[in-house]
Amino acid sequence: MRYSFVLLVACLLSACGADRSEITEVRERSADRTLEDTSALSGADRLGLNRPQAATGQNPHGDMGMMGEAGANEYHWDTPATWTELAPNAMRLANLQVTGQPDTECYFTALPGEAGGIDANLNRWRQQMGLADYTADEIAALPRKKLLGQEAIFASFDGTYGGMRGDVKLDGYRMLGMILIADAKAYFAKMTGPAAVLANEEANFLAFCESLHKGDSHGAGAPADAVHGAAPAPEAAAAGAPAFHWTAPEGWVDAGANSMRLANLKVSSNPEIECYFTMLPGGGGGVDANLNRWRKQMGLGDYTPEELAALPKHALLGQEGVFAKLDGAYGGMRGDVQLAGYRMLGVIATAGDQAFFVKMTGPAAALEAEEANFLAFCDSIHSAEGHDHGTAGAAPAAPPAVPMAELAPGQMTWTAPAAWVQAPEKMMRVVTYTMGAQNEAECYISVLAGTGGGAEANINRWFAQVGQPPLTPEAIEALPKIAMMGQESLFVDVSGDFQGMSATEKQSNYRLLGVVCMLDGQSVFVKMTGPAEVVEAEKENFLAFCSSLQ
Amino acid sequence: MIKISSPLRAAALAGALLVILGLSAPANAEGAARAPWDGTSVDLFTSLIIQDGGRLKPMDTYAQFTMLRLNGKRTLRLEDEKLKPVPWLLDCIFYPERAADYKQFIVDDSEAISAIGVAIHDKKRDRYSYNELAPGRMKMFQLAGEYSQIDAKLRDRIQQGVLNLASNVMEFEKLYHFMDFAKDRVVVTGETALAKAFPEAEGVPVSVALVRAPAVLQDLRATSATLDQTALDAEVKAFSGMLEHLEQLAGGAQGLAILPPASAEVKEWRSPAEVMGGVFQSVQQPDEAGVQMLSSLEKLYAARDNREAFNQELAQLHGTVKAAAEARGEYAKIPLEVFFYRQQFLFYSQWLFALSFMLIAASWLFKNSPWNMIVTSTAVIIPLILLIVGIAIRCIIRNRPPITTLYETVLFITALAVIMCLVMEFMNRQRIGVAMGAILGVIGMFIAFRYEMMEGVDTMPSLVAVLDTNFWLATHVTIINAGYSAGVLAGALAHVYIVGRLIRWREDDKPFYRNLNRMIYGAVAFCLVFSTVGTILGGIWANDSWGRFWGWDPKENGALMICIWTLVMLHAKMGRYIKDLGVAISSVFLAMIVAFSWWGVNQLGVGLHSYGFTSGIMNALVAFWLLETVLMTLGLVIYLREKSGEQPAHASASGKVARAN
Amino acid sequence: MTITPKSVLNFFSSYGLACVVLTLLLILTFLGTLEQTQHGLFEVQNKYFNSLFLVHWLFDTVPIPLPGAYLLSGILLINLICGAIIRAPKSWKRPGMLIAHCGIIYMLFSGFVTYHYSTRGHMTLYPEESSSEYKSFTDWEIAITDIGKPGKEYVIPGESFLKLDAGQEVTFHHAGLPFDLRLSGICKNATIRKAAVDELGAIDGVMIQELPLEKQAERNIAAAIATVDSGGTVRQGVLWGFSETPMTKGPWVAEAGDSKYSIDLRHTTFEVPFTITLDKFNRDLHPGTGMAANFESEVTKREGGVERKVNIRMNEPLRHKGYTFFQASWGPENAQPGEPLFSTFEVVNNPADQWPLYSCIVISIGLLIHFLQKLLGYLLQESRRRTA
Repeated sequence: MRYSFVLLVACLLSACGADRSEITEVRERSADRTLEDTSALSGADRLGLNRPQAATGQNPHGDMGMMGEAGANEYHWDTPATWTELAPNAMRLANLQVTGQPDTECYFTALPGEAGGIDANLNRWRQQMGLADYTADEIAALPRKKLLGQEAIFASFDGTYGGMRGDVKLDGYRMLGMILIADAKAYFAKMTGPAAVLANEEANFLAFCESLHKGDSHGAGAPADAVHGAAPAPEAAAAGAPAFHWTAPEGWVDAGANSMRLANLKVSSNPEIECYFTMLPGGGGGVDANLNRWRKQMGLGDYTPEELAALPKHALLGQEGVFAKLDGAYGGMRGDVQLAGYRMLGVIATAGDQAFFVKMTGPAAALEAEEANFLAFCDSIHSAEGHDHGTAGAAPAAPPAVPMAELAPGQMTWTAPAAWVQAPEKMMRVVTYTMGAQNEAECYISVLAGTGGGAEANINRWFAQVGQPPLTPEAIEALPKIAMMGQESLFVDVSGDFQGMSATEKQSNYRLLGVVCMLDGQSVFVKMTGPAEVVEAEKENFLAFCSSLQ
Repeated sequence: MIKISSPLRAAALAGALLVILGLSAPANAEGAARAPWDGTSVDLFTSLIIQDGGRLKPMDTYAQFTMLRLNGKRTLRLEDEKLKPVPWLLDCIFYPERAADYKQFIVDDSEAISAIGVAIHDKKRDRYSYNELAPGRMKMFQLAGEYSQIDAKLRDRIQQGVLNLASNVMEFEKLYHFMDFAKDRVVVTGETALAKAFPEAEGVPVSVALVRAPAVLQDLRATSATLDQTALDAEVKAFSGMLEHLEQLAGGAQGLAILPPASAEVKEWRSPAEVMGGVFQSVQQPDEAGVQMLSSLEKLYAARDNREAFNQELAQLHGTVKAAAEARGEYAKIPLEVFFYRQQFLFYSQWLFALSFMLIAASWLFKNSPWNMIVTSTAVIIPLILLIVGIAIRCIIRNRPPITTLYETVLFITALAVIMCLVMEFMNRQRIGVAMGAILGVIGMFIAFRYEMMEGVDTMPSLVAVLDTNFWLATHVTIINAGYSAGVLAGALAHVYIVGRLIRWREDDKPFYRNLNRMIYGAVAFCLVFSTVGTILGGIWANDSWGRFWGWDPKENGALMICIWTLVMLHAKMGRYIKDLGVAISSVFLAMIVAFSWWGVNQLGVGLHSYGFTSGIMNALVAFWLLETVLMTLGLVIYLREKSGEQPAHASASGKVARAN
Repeated sequence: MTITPKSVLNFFSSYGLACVVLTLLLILTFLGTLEQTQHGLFEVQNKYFNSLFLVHWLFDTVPIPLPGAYLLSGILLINLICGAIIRAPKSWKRPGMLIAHCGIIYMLFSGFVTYHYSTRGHMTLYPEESSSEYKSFTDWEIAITDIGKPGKEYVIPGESFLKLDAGQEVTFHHAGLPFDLRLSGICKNATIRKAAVDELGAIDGVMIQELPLEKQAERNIAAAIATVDSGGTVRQGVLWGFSETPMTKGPWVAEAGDSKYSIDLRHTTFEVPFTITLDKFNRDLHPGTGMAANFESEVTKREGGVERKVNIRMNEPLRHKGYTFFQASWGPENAQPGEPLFSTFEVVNNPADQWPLYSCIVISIGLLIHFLQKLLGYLLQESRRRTA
């Protein structure tokens, strides 16, 4: 009623041209409230359309172990105009929503390692949408779009969105997803929402993905199409592992080396194809055994000696190697899924007590086209020793690539208290000191690649070493924090009966001080153990030592 | 060739190959023979507990509704044997390779089968086996994915058919893979500490691995610092290999939550998969009970061909689970539910109603006598008692008032309508009441069974938060359904009135029609009282839940329409706009409105009350409305016939009755 | 026929009128129910039930003019009063009917009071958050406040400008304000985007983009261009209803005269005379499913230094000082495990809150008396017939 009356009045007034109305309602409000003064802001700033900085805040939940990223968010992006940025959380480096569409969400996240690989993640998403898994062919046919400046696999599908547990079903939903595995990390950008809404947002999603970049250099940092790789990662190479360099053929992308694979590549046009280079000590069981193992993976019987002898030769790392081409049903390592019509290309060479393998698998038809690339890739692999890349290590006979990459001591600096005695070098430790009257306490720094299993696991391992029950995640979150290497780092101080390391007997009345610092790509641990009274006396020194770490 | 650790793994592998290569299945699976399940196995399995749909129930209930959903009925006829739900479930779990050949997937329209590229049977509506569907599995899931995006109301029959089939196949695969973990063995080779803990060349059952592996893991954690990196790497690799294998096995074993939780505070029962995962999540506290039950399941599977050993293992597992459930105070209602379904109260009730109707029809051949009266009303009372006992047991099982779902409204409305018929019978003794009671009993129970079959879901489900209130379920829901019941009854009696007048049945028996009319009027009045009070109570509930008394929600509107129409009827009668015939005709219309309110609004797919969308119901409703419209038209024919002077006697008779009221 | 007071009374008290009005109401209810499959509840409610007249398009082709439920309820009320009360049989032969009709009049009256005098909105809180105001789901208003003196708000209700098209404009003024506020580019549902450089129609680097209306009215977000004209100095800003969310930095603040004024387009906001703090939100699921078995908010109510802990859950609202807080919903819907959940209360201030309950009791008593009376009469007659 009021409505139509006001409308009538408004219409009459506008018809007369006297479109001036008196404000009739004045309300009293509690006077102690404060109102934001936004008069200095531009409209776009005020309404959240300009993000002055990428979300660089500390991770609000302090749950650092989960994403393998230290608190600061190093990713930047452009938020599409019709999107709203939500606060990032433990899992989401970017967390966005289409403005006024609360059913939509878009996020970007990075996980260490391959996080299960592209296929598994795509299919997990499909499951969330109530869809059957992609077939290998479907995955192969998926388009590629830019994410972080690289070619990432892009999928879009409609279904009934069930979320993680599949308990709430939302009909007519669409999911847009982008997966990239590179630099030993898996990157995911994912958007969900009602299909009708997302139909209009796909371009924004792609633009968002394309705009994502790391570090401060806006839009830069995209590796060229031809990937030049070095394996293992430079910092590890400096620690002693032999480094290898290679050139990826056009259309190949670096999927990131891991503990087994010195080079790990994918072909961007077909995610089913994988190619890796690895090295095993002790000859890896010999060329023949390895070739037959491969044949087994392809569902084939062993080579006869004649066949073996007749295999073509191909050079690898300056050594004569054999080149095998196997067609069959690929069973992978587990032999549970059989993929018919697959091909495997492999080159094996031995040098001294080392065996080098380059192996590529994928659908036969796709591999046919990649064979030349494969051989070119094999040719491109070379030891870094002959080059002056500045990262080459000194000890060529060190063990092969290991999961625990160590920081070179030279890259880290610290000031040790005068009374501490540097102990001989130990495996896995950057440096070890001993202290106390009989040097009965020790303190060391160790560095692990990635999260080193996460702060929680490491802290609880320490607790277990002194016979204490593990902490709950809440308790870990509540631990005191000290600054180390520019990071808020968890500080542990726990006493008990110590039984760790090489000690065979329990040492009673021990105390353990530890600091866990999660950096980008590495975790730094500083730990002091010793009889309680010694550690008590050295606690100040320990903290000073920690804060001196650079 | 690939080394296969067990013949069963080979079977699974063959299945996977089949799917990937798109080959058609062999006509008969080898080794599919099995001895029939004996009574002991079936009895024990029947009362095993499963947590499904948010509540604990006997395996029997789960088996029944799963079978109903897949197969469209509660029996499966094989060549040499007729399977009931529990033996069928036993087959699916313990002889999946055999169950894959059962023609157990009901397909209403073979076009859904041709859509997924599988050879169709001759009959349009027929049952297919898993092995028959397997070649089209990929296509089916792909299509299902596409069709699920289409709004449910816009899907055509074929699309819906493919979707249903896909969800049924998924349901079956849950059972098919459930015992995968029990068939496989864990083998670890190499020189690692893990391998040393698994010296057996032929591997160990999963349950054994679950005991050993965490211990190795704990040792490794303690000693990891002393290992060199190569060794550590090898350990990590060996471990992840095993975990991957276990995870894969766990993938199949997550379908049924049949194991009690480890701690008393946790409400969620566990599937074997959860036990397997939990072992590695809390290495510190080994889950001995859980692993023990897994071992039990493994032994059960191993003994599947030996009934005696099987029963022994099953009895042990049953005892363990029962004891755990009893300790948790969750067992009490399980035997009652087994009893409820075993005694088939509702089934017998339906047939006795049918029988009693025949008896009453026969009794019309005889003169009305007290003896006649006793026989006919007893004939109706017996099935009514069965129905009421059934409803009461359901209330006890769920600790709820009689109505929580659409299915239960059918039971309740039927029971109440029959009771009202009997009350009317005792008031006027015309044998109209008993006959109507028997007819409504048959129809009501028929609808209940049809609906249960169509839905194929547990009819005693968990309730959403807002419905979870015994007070309002007992008052508003019960009263409003009593209103529906009276509306239905008024409509049914009006049928007798109109048809009787039309065919000039008992033309001279004026008291008969007068009594009939009074019964209709009584039912309408009852309907008005209960609908009005029920509707307002609904508003009060809504006011307590959402803060609004009235929200124009379709279900609310439906109830309001009943109130309004009964008011129109009564005022029109008082204003002499309608007389007996008019009341009868408008009672038929009342029944149409009740049908709209009771079933129709749920088909609209909007509002807070929209549960149970089934297009078959819509067709039945439209048929009902058409039929009723025809009947109303016939009523008008009577009116015109009388107006034209053919039947002045009746007109004046009804006039008198109207005045008498 | 001459119209006399008696004939008017006859007309308004007739059974015929009752039948016609009720039948129309029945048709309206039916059409309004069906219409909900096509349009949102809010729209349907306004068209069919809160209106005087409407035109229903049968099969989208045939226009049928109909009286609205609001009008029909009014006529029904008159009919009830005239028929059942004034013209009721002077004897007490049918007391039940008289009581029942009084109850219905009471109920219709409470519906009228609810419609005109109740306010409704929601209060959404994360744990630890407090609030003493609730916001309408659908209605908008513009509040003008001198940010130096936040105790006073000049309020322009949404209906006074949102009915206008984007092409029209309207100016508001008040003696207490040193400026005129002109609104233009008014949209009932809009989003905003960053404007391109020198884009035509951009205000302050922002473009308003009109969107089609949502089926669910609560999803619409209003927007307008505000022009503050303080006699010579003219400033323009974008008002957008989403300014109440954390993504934005707050409402537009314009300088006028010596002060700065916050000009806030927001959902109509109501104050309650106490503060609610959400202490904890609990959600129970049925075991093994994602189906909510119960949700419950533990809140603290503070009023003049007095604190009271209350639990609000489904079917158990908090009632205080005429305000009722209902546990309505929670979110975010796809929250990760461990992520904090917010709780949404529906807040209603309805003077007629419990009236329907009282009227229900009256009606039930009336109907029971009446039909028991009739039943007894019938049974007596029947036994007389049998003995006769």
